[in-house]
Amino acid sequence: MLKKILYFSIFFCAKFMLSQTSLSGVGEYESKISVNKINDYLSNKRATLDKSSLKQYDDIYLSSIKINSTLFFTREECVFKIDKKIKRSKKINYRLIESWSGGTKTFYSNSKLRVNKTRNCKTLGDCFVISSEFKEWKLTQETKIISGYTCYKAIRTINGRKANKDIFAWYTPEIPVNFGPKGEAGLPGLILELVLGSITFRANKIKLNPKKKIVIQKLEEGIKVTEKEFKILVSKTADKVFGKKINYYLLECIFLCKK
Amino acid sequence: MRKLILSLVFVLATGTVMNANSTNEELLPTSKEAIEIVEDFGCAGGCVRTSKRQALEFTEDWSDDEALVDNYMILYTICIEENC
Repeated sequence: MLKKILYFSIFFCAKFMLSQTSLSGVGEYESKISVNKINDYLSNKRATLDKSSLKQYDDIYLSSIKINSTLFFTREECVFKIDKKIKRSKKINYRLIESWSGGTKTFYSNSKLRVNKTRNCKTLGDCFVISSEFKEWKLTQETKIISGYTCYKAIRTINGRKANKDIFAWYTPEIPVNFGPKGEAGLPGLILELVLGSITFRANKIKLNPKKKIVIQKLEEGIKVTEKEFKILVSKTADKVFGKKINYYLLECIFLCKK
Repeated sequence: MRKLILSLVFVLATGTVMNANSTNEELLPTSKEAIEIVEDFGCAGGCVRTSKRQALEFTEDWSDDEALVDNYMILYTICIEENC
């Protein structure tokens, strides 16, 4: 009898542990121009525009275009890309918002190795697989409810040449995976909302442990480079196209000083 | 001495005649007509200029070269599709 109880307890323990480790899911996200960007545009930038530029800017920053994307995740890995089901529009606003949401890039993260990989076949013509480490986040106690989950706010600062830029993520510890949209990872819960520059991603559907097994494909095909190496390559291309950008910085300064 | 003076006079006279002859020659114009080639890339050139300006406008942070190049490529492609 004692032996039987022991077998049963081992069986249930194993099942419980297995169910804990086999967490997987699909997160469906929607991305659009962020509220902060719209407010900033309406209160500052819009008044400075001439009539010829106004329509184009309004089309982009006041547009209601939404881009759908999907995050497939297991406990250790995830892959994120935007959905290609919808026929692509030729309009500038759609193409820009689509590109800012991830475009044709595929984002892979591995929480065990704390590594992100991005497959980018567009920027430089060839396909590159760019690897980088997880970035550090500052966690806060601010909370809000998204899709029924309690989410905590986290902030990450990017040091830009002109100014520092903050990225805001709302993650839920109720789904204990370290992933989020567009390669943003490393938080103690799934990111359900992400404010990344002009774009806000928001989860509108989370499906946990679906019947169909989720298989995450590692990004292997492409020229393997580090984030630093890729930045150097892109910087060289940008200099070829735009010349030394310092001239543009000076021009902008002169333009702003006049005002 | 006399011979020396005569030879000097001869040399001087010959030189003067030769110099006089050369000045009578018709002067040829040294300048040639310049051929000016203006490279005209048509709408593609216009698209490059417009796309560069717009890419700088729509890229939040110019230190993000990847975003800058991506935006430029999108704007250039659309411009070519629409105008060329």
